[in-house]
Amino acid sequence: MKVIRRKARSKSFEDSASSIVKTGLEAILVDLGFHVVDFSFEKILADPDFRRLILESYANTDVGRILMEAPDLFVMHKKKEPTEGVFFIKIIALSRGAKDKTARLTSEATRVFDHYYPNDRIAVIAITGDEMSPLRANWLGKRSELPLSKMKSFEEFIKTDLQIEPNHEFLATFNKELVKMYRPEQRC
Amino acid sequence: MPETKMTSFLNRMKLTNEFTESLSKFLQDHGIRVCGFGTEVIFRQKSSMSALIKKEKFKKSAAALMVKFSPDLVCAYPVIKGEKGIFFLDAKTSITPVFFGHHIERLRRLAKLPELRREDIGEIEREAWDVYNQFYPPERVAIVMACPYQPKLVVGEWVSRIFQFFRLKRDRNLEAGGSGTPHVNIHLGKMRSLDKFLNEEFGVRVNQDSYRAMRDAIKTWEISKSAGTVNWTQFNNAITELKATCPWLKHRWPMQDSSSAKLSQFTSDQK
Repeated sequence: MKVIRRKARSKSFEDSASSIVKTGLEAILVDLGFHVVDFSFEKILADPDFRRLILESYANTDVGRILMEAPDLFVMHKKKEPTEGVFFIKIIALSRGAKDKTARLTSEATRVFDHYYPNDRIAVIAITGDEMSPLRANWLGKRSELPLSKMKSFEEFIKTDLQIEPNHEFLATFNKELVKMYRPEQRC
Repeated sequence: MPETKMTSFLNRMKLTNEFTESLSKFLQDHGIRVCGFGTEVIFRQKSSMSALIKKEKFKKSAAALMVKFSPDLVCAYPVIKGEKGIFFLDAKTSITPVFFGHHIERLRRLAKLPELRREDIGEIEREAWDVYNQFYPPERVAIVMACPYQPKLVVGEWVSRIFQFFRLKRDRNLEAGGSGTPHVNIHLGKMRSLDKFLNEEFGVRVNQDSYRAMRDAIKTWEISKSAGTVNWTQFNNAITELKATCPWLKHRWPMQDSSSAKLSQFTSDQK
């Protein structure tokens, strides 16, 4: 059933937001000296017919889930220690006006990350739409949900967890755009 | 000293790429759908990352290893729906047997396998083996290995069913006469021939003509002689022993084929 929903649904606000943030994050991370590659299902399996076959016949298999639930980005820093500078990124977009301030993974993604990924090297980046802190980040670890209140601002995450001085101007511009995206009435 | 052509890493890589290609075609001819996976696909537009991840220091990162050693292919046999119809596959080639008798003795002793034969000893990079076991479901990762010094020539098995009998703990291997990369040894003789594997796992009846053609091609692969660590006598003694079960193998001597050998022959004739 989940497969049919995934196939049938049109691109939601959350999908669009994730896609925009993925592009923006790539630019921010490259600016900080990271190499970044899109690691999503659509990119790691280039053949659309084969992807369709997985969605139709193998979505409920371990192999299918590993591929379908792949994180959004894989990043490597050339100069940092490999144990610190190499990780995956999973982007979670909260819906517009969401009351529940928690970044949640689907049960399928939780299972895949828990069984098959070094989950202490998956950074969850939540798009909150909140004016003060539109992007929040934390390492996933063995969790399936992260309350936004316990996550760091993305800027702080870069500084404390990646040990890199963020480009404040670049981030401020990006954050402004994210807030606009969540509040379309502010658009000129 | 002139070595065999396959000593070069690039030649070995080319051989593996060619085998992966011919294996993909073989599987597709038998109704198995194949899709490229692994670093070549993931980094197809990021050559800088492809080079970066090969650096030794990234062996310390589990995330980097997971990506670096992701299997070559994802395969699906649409006749079978669900778990049993889809799997990862890594295609490998092995053209370097263990040359040193004392190392085989040591493996027999450590693994408590007194009957272990030279042709049954396969080698897989240790970090790759760990990735297949930790970051993928080992019962759904198949290794298909082509090997001219193994009587079955091409074997296939699930990682979960492959018998690993030795694991190098150090980070360099100086004893087997191979490349020195840390490895695990697997029992090739206990792996199924590719046709048996495909038949028993998927009910696929392999076309024996194309299977024979694949095996015949593997028979022609030259055994690699590790540069500097194995001398020609040790090389040819190992070939003599292997010829008992793999009669297609050929002895070789330093003056064969190599243009530098021909040049030195020419120079000595002139003298």
